[in-house]
Amino acid sequence: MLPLELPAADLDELYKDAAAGLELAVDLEKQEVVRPNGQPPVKFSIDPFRRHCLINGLDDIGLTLEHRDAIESFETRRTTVWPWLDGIGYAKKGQKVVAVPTKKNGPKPTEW
Amino acid sequence: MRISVEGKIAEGVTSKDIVLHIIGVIGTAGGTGCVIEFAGSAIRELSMEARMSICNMSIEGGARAGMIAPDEITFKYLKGRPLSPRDGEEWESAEAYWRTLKSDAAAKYDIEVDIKAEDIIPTVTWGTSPQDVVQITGSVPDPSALPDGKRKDAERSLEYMGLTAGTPMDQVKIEKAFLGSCTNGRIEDLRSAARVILAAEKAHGSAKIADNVYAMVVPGSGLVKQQAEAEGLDVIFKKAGFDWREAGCSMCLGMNPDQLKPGERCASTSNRNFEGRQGAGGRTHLMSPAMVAAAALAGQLTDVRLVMGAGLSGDGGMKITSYSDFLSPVTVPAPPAQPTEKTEAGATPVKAAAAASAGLPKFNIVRGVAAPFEESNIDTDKIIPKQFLKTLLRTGLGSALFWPIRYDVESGAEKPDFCLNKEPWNKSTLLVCKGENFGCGSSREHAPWALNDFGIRCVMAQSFGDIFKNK
Repeated sequence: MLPLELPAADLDELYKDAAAGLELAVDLEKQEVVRPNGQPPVKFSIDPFRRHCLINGLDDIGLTLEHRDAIESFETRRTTVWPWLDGIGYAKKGQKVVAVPTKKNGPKPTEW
Repeated sequence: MRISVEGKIAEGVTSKDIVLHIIGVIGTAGGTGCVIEFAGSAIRELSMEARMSICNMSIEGGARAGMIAPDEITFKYLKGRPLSPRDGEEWESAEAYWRTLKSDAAAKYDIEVDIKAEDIIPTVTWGTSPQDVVQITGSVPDPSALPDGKRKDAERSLEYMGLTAGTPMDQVKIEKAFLGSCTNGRIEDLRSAARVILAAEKAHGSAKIADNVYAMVVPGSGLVKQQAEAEGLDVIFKKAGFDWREAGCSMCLGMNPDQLKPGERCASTSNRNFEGRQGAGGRTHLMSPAMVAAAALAGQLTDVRLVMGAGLSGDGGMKITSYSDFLSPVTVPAPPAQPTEKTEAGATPVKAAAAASAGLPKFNIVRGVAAPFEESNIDTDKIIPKQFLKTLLRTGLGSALFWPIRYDVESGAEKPDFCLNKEPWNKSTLLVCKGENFGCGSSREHAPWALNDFGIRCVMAQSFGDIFKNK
């Protein structure tokens, strides 16, 4: 979602279009709000990083996965050099975690 | 930072005494900006659980973490544990790697502190900070003898703790005794305290906690409790009049009914003696498990070495069990090794996961009708009031958007005149607000969720409440 700060004068104009039920268009690529009926668009500026994330649909996970090659090579190295760190319940790279069964038949019900 | 404790620790002195002594030397800000490595012959002799107590209190010395290099004692502790590297090739390679994990002989540390083990005797705190330590043979310090910067704090501490300067520490009477906490709740700590009771019994005939003292033993975990009961420690404690409890945080921080009343004095094995930590107005004295047991028996802080007498050395004839009887081994074979190259799907597993993750919908151009708003200071209670806040789902709140002004508060019926309830604005994808400070007030994330679920992807206003600007 985009919170867009605009000066009062521009908002007054856009309010007129909104109150009349007319269609507006917020164009993040061109950084302008397009008005109906041939009126000039309202230009705005926005933090370039936010713009990049919104245009590419990047949330925190998306931003991290941009480093997926580095993540891959680290995981390969870790399994090769320190194999015991892939412990018994370890889910490698996208697999589901398997619940490790214990020897007993499950926890004793507590009396309180 | 490296803290080296060289020499041999005397009988009756435990790792808790070592770390309290250390914090007395470096202060609670001494380790700020550092990770502490504990080294030296005295540290090398300690068991794993004793080392854990020391590292546990690194934070009290201001450090980010505490480390002790692995050695034979470490490997022996880990071998065969349920989640350790399995015996065989896996264990061999793990141990070989761990042996390389020590500081180089010529390593340079930013701060080095050297402590002689012989200087350490049973230690207790007198004040309201872990650095306010004194040996049990000493007395309450005199604030006027301290440098200017520290005098006021010391006076305040003494007033809070109800102590007079010059009082010998072994005359300070207690009302409560607490044996437990993450710092000292392990099986060896319980054995240490039980040994005190047995030695006192042998030396003086019987060993019961003093009148007016309430003493409790809280094992660090359910498994520790089981093991202690198998060794008969609970019987020893209960016979002496201690309360034997279920595992938990208990009186370490008074976040539960186990609390000190204002003015009550407690001998505690925990790690923090700040004002009100164990209960508002409560007075905490930190010390080792053995010292707490001794204090509970004597009714006042006392030197455990005197209480134990001849029984100071030796294991007191106690039954010792092995932890492995209480930890359940994991019997699942290792999962098959997955290749890290291309799978059938074509992408490597990380890339497949990346492709599968939803991410955000892309925002390039959003077209549509804009809902018009005029007011300033539209607060988030107006955007989504409290009765909708119990959900954690980000979807489903669209119909509740602007509820207080969109629906009749009494009947719950839609107000036909409100913009969002009529054409064309009931399909708005934008919102234009002429006013300032949109979305002020409470930081409920439900407010943008409600806007989003209604379909609004962009809000235009003169300014926004700071809560809408996260990161």
